[in-house]
Parts: sequence; C-alpha cells; structure tokens
Amino acid sequence: MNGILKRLALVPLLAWLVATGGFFLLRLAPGGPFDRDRAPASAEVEAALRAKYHLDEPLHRQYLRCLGGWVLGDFGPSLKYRNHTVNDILAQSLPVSGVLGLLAAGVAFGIGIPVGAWGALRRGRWPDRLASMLAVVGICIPSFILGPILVLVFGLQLAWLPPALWGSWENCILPVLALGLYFAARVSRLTREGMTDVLRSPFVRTARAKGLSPGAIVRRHALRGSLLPVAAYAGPMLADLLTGSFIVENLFQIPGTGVFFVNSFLNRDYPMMIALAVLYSVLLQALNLGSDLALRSLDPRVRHA
Amino acid sequence: MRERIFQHLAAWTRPFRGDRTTTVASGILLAALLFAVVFPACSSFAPDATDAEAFSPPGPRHLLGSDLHGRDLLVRIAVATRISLLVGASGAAVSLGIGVGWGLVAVYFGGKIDAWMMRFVDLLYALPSVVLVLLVLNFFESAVATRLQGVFPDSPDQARLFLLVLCLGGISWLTMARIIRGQVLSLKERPFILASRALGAGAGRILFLHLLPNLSGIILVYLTLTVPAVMLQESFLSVLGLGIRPPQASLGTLIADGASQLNPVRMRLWLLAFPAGALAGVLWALGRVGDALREAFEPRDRDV
Amino acid sequence: MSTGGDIRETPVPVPGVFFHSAPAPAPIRLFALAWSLLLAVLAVGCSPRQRADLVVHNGPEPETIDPQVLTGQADGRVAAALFEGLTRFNPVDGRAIPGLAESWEISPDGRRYRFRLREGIVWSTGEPIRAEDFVWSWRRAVMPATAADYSAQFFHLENGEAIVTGKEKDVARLGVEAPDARTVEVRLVNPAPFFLELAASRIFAPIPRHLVDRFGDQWIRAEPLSCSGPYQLMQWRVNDRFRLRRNPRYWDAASVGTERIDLLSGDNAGTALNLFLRGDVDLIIDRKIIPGELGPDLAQRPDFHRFDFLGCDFIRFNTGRKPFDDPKVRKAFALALDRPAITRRITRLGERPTGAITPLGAGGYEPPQGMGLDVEQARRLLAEAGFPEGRGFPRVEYTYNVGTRLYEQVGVEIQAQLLAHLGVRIQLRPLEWKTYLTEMSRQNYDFIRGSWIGDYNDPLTFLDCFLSDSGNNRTGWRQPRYDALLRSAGAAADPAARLALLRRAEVLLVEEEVPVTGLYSYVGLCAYRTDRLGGFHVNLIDEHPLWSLRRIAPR
Repeated sequence: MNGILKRLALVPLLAWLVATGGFFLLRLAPGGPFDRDRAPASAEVEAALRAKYHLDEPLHRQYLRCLGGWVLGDFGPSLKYRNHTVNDILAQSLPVSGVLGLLAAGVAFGIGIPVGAWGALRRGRWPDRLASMLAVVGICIPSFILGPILVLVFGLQLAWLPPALWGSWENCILPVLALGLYFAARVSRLTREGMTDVLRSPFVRTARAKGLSPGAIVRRHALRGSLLPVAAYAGPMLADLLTGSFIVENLFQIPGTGVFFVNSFLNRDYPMMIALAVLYSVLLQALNLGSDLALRSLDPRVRHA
Repeated sequence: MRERIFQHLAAWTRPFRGDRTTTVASGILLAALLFAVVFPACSSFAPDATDAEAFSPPGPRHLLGSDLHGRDLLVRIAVATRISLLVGASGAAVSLGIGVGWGLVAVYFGGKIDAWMMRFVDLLYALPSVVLVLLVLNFFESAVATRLQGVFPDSPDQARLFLLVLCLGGISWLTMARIIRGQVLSLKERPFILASRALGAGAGRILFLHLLPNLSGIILVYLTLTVPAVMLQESFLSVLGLGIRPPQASLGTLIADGASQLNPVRMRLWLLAFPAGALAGVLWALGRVGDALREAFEPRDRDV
Repeated sequence: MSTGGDIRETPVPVPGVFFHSAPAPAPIRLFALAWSLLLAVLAVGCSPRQRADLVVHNGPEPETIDPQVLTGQADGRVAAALFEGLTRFNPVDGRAIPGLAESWEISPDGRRYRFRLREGIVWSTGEPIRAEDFVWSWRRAVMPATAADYSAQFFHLENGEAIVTGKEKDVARLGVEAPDARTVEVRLVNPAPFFLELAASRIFAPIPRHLVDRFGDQWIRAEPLSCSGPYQLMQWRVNDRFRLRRNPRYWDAASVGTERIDLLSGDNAGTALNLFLRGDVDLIIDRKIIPGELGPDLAQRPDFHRFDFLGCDFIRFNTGRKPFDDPKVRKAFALALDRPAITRRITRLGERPTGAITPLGAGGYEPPQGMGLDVEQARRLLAEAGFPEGRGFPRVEYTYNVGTRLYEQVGVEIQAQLLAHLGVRIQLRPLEWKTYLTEMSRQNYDFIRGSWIGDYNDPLTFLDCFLSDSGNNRTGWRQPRYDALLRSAGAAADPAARLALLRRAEVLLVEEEVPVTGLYSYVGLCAYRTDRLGGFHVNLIDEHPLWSLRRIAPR
C-alpha cells in the first residue's frame, strides 16, 4: 500500500520532468509554429503574432508562464489550430481514441491470449505452427497495410461497413480490427512464451500426474502464471492504444488524439505536444502501476511490485 | 584439437539441423543474408538505375517487376533487406544489451534502485521519439557526414542511416526492460535462486549464470517482436522525412510505398507483395531459428 | 492464491471457460467486465448521425476560419461560405461579380473605386451591415497587432504597405472610406486591374464588430456566429467536420442551392477517395486530397474532372553559395532538365511543362518559354564554368519536403536526368516541412524545390516573389533591374504595356539570370458525379462557391 502511494506521489514529478524536457527540447527543433511557405506580410505582423502567443519573451519567462498553466491543468492555446485551446481539442478527441483503444485492447487480449495459450498447449504441433505463422503475419502486417485491406474488402468490395468516418458502431469495427490484430499477434507470442514456461514447472507436472484434465490445469493454474509477460507488456500497450494511433485515425479519418502525436510535432504546436507528452506520461505511469500490481496478483512470489 | 572444434561446431549447429522447418528457416536466413550482400553487386540493374518503362509487371526482364521510375524491384529489395537487417540487428542488439541488462540490474538490486530505474524508463517512454530523432539529425547529420566521407568517400549517404540506427536502438529497449523485470521478479524468488544465494553466490554469478539462461525464452520472443517494430518505426520516420535518403530504401519504406497500391482503382500489387513477403519470410525465419536456439540452450529442470 | 489446495479438486466438465461453475479466474472475469463495459459505452455514445444534404470533402483541418488571419485553401473555403465581401466569385469562371455591393464605379485612372452596398443587408444574427463595417474591418486587418499573414493584399491600397510594415501608425489613413452607410470608397496606389477579384478574397470581407468587441481574437467561436455569407456555422468538430446551414438572411438566399452541407476535414487522400466511391462524399473539392499516383487512372473516369490552375512547381538555386553562384552552372542545370519527361512519367496529369514561373493564362498574360532541354548547350556551359563532363563538380544536394511522395519522385527523376545529361551525381535531401522551410529561409541549401500558388489572377502574384527585398525570394538573388521593371509595370496605366513589362522581367528571371527555373504548372482534379451534383465548375483560380451547389437526383 505504501509502495503504491509512493508511486502515485511520483506521477506529478515525472509528468513535470516530461513537460519540462519537452518544453526545452522542442525549442531546439528548427522552424516555428508560424513558419509557412509564404513570408508574412511584414516583420511587424510576424512580431505581433509571436507576441500574441508570448513567443517573443525570454525562454524562462515563457516556461514559468506555461508552468503556471500546467499546475492548473491548462495547456494554453493551440498554436496550429488557432481557434481552439489544447484542452478544447483533447476534450473532443480523447473520448474517441479511448473507445477505439479500449475496443482494440479487447481484441488484443481476447484473441491474443487464447491463441497463445492454445499454441503453448499444442507446442510444436500443427495448431502451434499455425498460430505462430499467423502471429508472424500479424506482426509484419502493420496497420497501414491491414487497414486498407480491410477497407477494400469489407468497406468497398462487400460494402458491409463504412470505409471511414466516426459516429456509429459500424464505424468502429474496421479500425478496431486494424489496430487490435497487430497487438493480438504480439500478445499471443508473449502468452505462448509465458504458458510454455509455466507448463514446465513442477506444480503443473504434479497436477497432470494427479490426472487433472489439461483444460482445468490451464484454467486453474497455468493461465495466471503465463500472463506475466503479457501483464508487463500491457502497461505500455494500453497507453499506446488509449491515446490513439496516428496511422489508424488518419486512415479512417477518425477525430481522435492519435493524429496529434505526429501532427503537433510536424506543426511545431508546442503546447499541444507538451500536453500530449504529459497525458501519455501520466497514463503510462498509472497503467504501469496497474500492470505491476497485476504482476503481483498473478504470481504470489513477486514481492517488489 | 581439430576434433574439439568439430565437436563444438556440431553442438552449435545442432539446433539448426534439428527438424525440417528449422533447417528451412536457417536456410532462408542465410540466403537472405547472401542475397542482400552479394546480389546487388552481380545484378544487371543498379538499385537506382531508372528506366523509361514504368511499372513493368513481373516478367523475364524484371523478375519482380519495376516501379514508377522503372527501377528493378528485385535489386531494390536486396539493397533494402541489407538496410532493414542492419536496422533490425541494431535494435535487437540494444534491446539485448541495455534492455535486458537494465531489467536484470533493476530487479536484482530491488528497492530504491529498482524504483528509480523503472521510473527512468517511464520517463523515456513519454518523451516523443520523433523529436529526439529530428534533433539528432539536425545537429549531427552534417558533422557525421563529413566524418564518414573521409572513411567511405564513395557513399556519402550513410550519415543519416548511421544516426537513424543509433536513434532507433536508443528507443527500442524500453519494453524489453519492463518485460525482463517482470519475469525476474518471479524468478528470483524461486527455490534454485534462493538456494544459490544461500550458498553465497555473488550478484554477478546469480544474474548471469542463473537468471539469464532462464530468461532466454522470453528474451528471444520479445526480440522477435522488437525487430519488426524497429524496422517499421524506421519506415515511419522515412515517411516523415526523418528516415534514410532516397534512392536508398529499406523493406519498411518499400512496404510503406507499396501500401498506396491498396486502392480500389488500380493495384500494382507486386510493389507491395514482394517486399512484404521478403520481410515476413525473414521475420518468420528469425523467429523459428530463435525458437530452436532456445530449445537447445534453455535449462530444463530449473526448479530442482 | 495457493496452488496446493486447488489440485485436489475434481474438475467439473463443462464446455467453455466462461460457464465454469467455480468462480472464473480473475483475468477472465476482468475481460468479461471490460467487454460489457465497452459495449455499453458504444451503445450509449454512438448514435447514428443524419447525413447532410451535401457532403463535401474539404481537405485538411483548417488552422482557423477567421477570414482576416487564415491562409490555407481549406480554411478559406469554410470562411467563404460564412463571410462575403463587396464582390464574390462567379462559380463558372472565377471572375468577380457583385456581392454585398450591388454596383461600383471605377475612376478613369483606375485608382479609385466607389462601391454601392445592397440595401438592407444584415448579419445572420440580424444586425445591419453598413459601409463603416468594411472600413473598420479593413483597418483591423492591416493593423500589425491583428497579425494577419495575408495583409500584404492591402499593399495595393493607399498607405496599406506603410501601415502593415509599421511605418504609418494611423490606420485611419488606409485608402478606404465610408462617405455614407451604403458607400465604400477605395483608393489604390496603382491601377490594379485585378482589384475586383482581390475584393472578393476572404480578407476583404467585413467581420462582425459586435462580436469582436465582446470576444476579441476568438470572436469566430461565438455562438451564434454572425455570418454575412450564404451559410451559417452549426457545428465544428476538429478533424471531423463543419456542419453548415443555409443563412436565411443572406441577400441572395434564394439562389443558395443546398440547405445543409457537411464539410469533412481529413488529410488522407486514399480515404477521401474511398468515401467518394462509396457515395458517402458527394464532392472532393481539394485537389491535394486526390491520390496523386492514381491521377492518370482517375482522370479517365467521368466523375473526375481535370482543371488547370494558377500554381507551379519550380527550383530555387542558392545564388549565395558555390557552385550555383555562377549563372552558367544554374543555366546548365536548367537546360539539363527534361521537364516533359517529368510530367509524362511522374506527375502524369497532363501538367504543362514550363521553364517559366507564371502559368499560362494568368490575367491574359503570355509567359516566356524559360529554359527547355538542351543537353549540348548545358554541357558547354558547365564546361565553361570549369566542370567539363561534370568532372570536379562539388557534392550538391537537391532539397525537398516530404509530405506527398510526388516530391521524392520528382527528385529521383531530376537526379537521374542530371546524371545522364551532365554527368553530375547529386544527392537527395528529404526534410520534414518545417525544417525544409527553415533551411530555405536561411538559404542553407544548394538547390531546392519551390512552389507557388497565385493569390489572384495576374502574373504579378508570381513575379512579386523575386523582388530583392521580398521575403519569398529565398535565393539570395538581388537584381535592381528586375525591381525596376516590376515598378514601372505597376505604374503603367495601359494593360498591354504593363503585361509587356512584366514579361520582360520574367525573361530576366527565368532565361537570363536563372535564380529559379520552372518545372511545370499545376493541374488539379476534383471529384463529383455530374448526374448528382450541379452548379460546380472548374476554373483557373480554383474557387468553388458552395452556394451554387445543388444535388440533382435525390438519393
């Protein structure tokens, strides 16, 4: 309990480090938010624009100004989408990415764990070979290939599902698959490994010797221990999924947060980038804490989680 | 003496001869390596030689077809495989070196050290990697280019590749560290470790002699996940203009280019299928060989 | 959990993990919980949305739709639906027709315009639109504090340049006045024959003062927003869509063809195409949102429409750095490029290859030929510059921005051509957009991709860029003779004489000194089915007012 409180206390500290690091690193990148392919009308106009967003102040002043906002949870105006604040955009886009990410996580676990466990139980036999083959295919077919294939087949050829956009449940299916199957492949590999590991341990051998059916062994004893690698991986994976995927959101024209992870950088939208880094950092820490707790509950021998 | 060498050789190659699939897999890897290194030199096409006829489908002249510029896809895949293997290998090496080491050390010492090491990993996770890559390229590319030009005067395009390999390695080890840590947390409380600690074994001995071999499975599996992830990350950076310089290509960039063929109007699928097939083949073979290696070297009865 | 006790239990043979009589293991319970939660979220959160009468794909999410500060084309299309100026664009040919002004008089010297506003024009929220609103809005636009990137459009007005550049602090001295509530008087510096079109552009539209007074810079987010144009804003979701509804108080509301329009925002061209082919989108209006590689195939289809428009790709040479400080080297490179091969093999939409900067058809202007392919001449010039057969030529890089793959493909082609024609092996240097812009402004390049899209239908919008002091020059080339030619063209009252002077300047630019050399002028594609959508026309300035659009066949 004490450990958890300590971890939670560190969350704002790390978030602050991320924000500060991001703030200064970003300024080193060439180009600024208001650079365009055509020059501004005059130097005065450019100066006024910079002044409007306080970019003309010395860096430490800007930093303190931002810091004040961060404390209050206000990340300021977006420098790219100039009629919106960063909070405004995140409030619109996070729920979308969240739903998409949760569903994709469901696919990743819901498919990956059973397939991986099955492969381990039939290790070396055809189901395992097949599962491994599928996993390799899943891993090297990134979502920017899988997505278009799904759209071509189910969106255009069969015309069962809308090829893009967001709004109804039909819109969710293809992007969730495009996003989830890749992670399902990875989860299945990790589960298979964890399961193989557990199946070799003495207590499983004992259980088998006692005549317990393989299904029962898996459900009662092996599954828990075999999820250790998946549990460790789940933290970063969920953080990635919940904050959205650039490729999938761009491909399906979904108004989520994922596209901003790349676009805010390309646009030098400093406040947006910092907000996203902080958001990701907080989410990751929370999920990693959860994943560490899961490690502990899955394996009673793990003490220092 | 010679006999002993043969014995060693036999022991080392045993996993590769174990069963048919593994033999095929090692054959594929070897062939891919040879293909990548030797083929570009003896092909009748240069990888960047353009031709008046665009988009030739696979045929006798261009075995795997050609692209918009009339460049031969076969030789481009060979060159791309070279770069992708290099990128993948570097990611794997860093994951192996830093990632595994980080996880082991963190959990072995435990307590505060563990906590801070893992929080450091969390911190690195959250810093956007594209920014780091951009900054590294921006500040070091021209300097490295000048240095490299002294070493390889004929190929001045290597600076970006070098820096890219460095950066991709630098961001590829984080998840490995987490996974290893999770696994070691469980392993270190098992009887055989407790026993060897009770016998007074030192930290180094326990880490490297007892823990590491028991981790080989998960390490290999996660490596087979890291390598493709790093390769794809590289292609993503290339799409953003932070990757290798054209006309150089990697399997990832060829696939990313080929992705535009998945459209309802006109598909020139060879541009996607062959690079993707090459990548899948290499990755499958890598995974298979990794599995075989691990079967061969993993200790069997750990809890005894 | 202890493992010891469990082993003794006899398993209950039931099919499927989920129906096990004993409590399911924690992970499984968790999954079941998570899934049911998700389905609940979905059921509640995703209610199907009604399709608008017309769905238009508008391209990338606009940065802002404030007509005074926007710069992007997609931004401008939204703003043009909401705000109208003295004139508006004719959907057929893109020329100016009466907008909020019903008529105008032009003085004989072409420097004074007197506009007569329509009677009873009001904002969509009911407030009247008066001549003072124009004066007030234009003055706000030129104030440096407004930070309007496009305020250079006002340089054609008296004192416009002085105010925008901060030399004149009194905005009241801008050449615009309102003698009465329905008259706007404009004084120009030069007889600009394109001023009526300029007056139709976004930045010349009046903005609602009552909102600016209340909300300041973010007046555009006011709800309800006061609009002067054919449509009013109902909803704006970032990276999703704008929902527009007909403005019943628009002076010409009767000719607005569609009640509700959705403008979708997105920058994936393949996705836009899929949506169009599925019938979810009626019109793709942004030429960048059509997949370039499929251009030739799509152009064959009856529902895709090709059009020339005022824009071009060209190359800038860095005249401040060896070896391109030598005009002979620049000319040699310009002569070694096979532009028809680039348009035939790479861009493939029937673009017009040209060595000039100004596209054909800008304001009745006939651009010069510029440099064409002449390998012998190119080799000779390169040899004269000290590099016979390309020997000893330093390492040079062609810099371009990534974004669409087209620029890389053009780069690869240029690389191959220069190697074949000059024996020079250049390197390609792809940069992400902002780095590319920075390197170009700092002149940290050898030669670099450039492009320009005309703001109005006149060659001046292209030739302006290469004035010695223009921020768009970016080549280090300073030529007083060029500046002088453009100045005298500006002062010329006779349109023919004016065009001749402009042509003389362009010859100096692209044939004699060659700090830049053209590649090709743009062709755009837009997508709509002629049997479903009426009132859409292609034109040289790529202006397509939404009010003229109407669905023909009901779905």
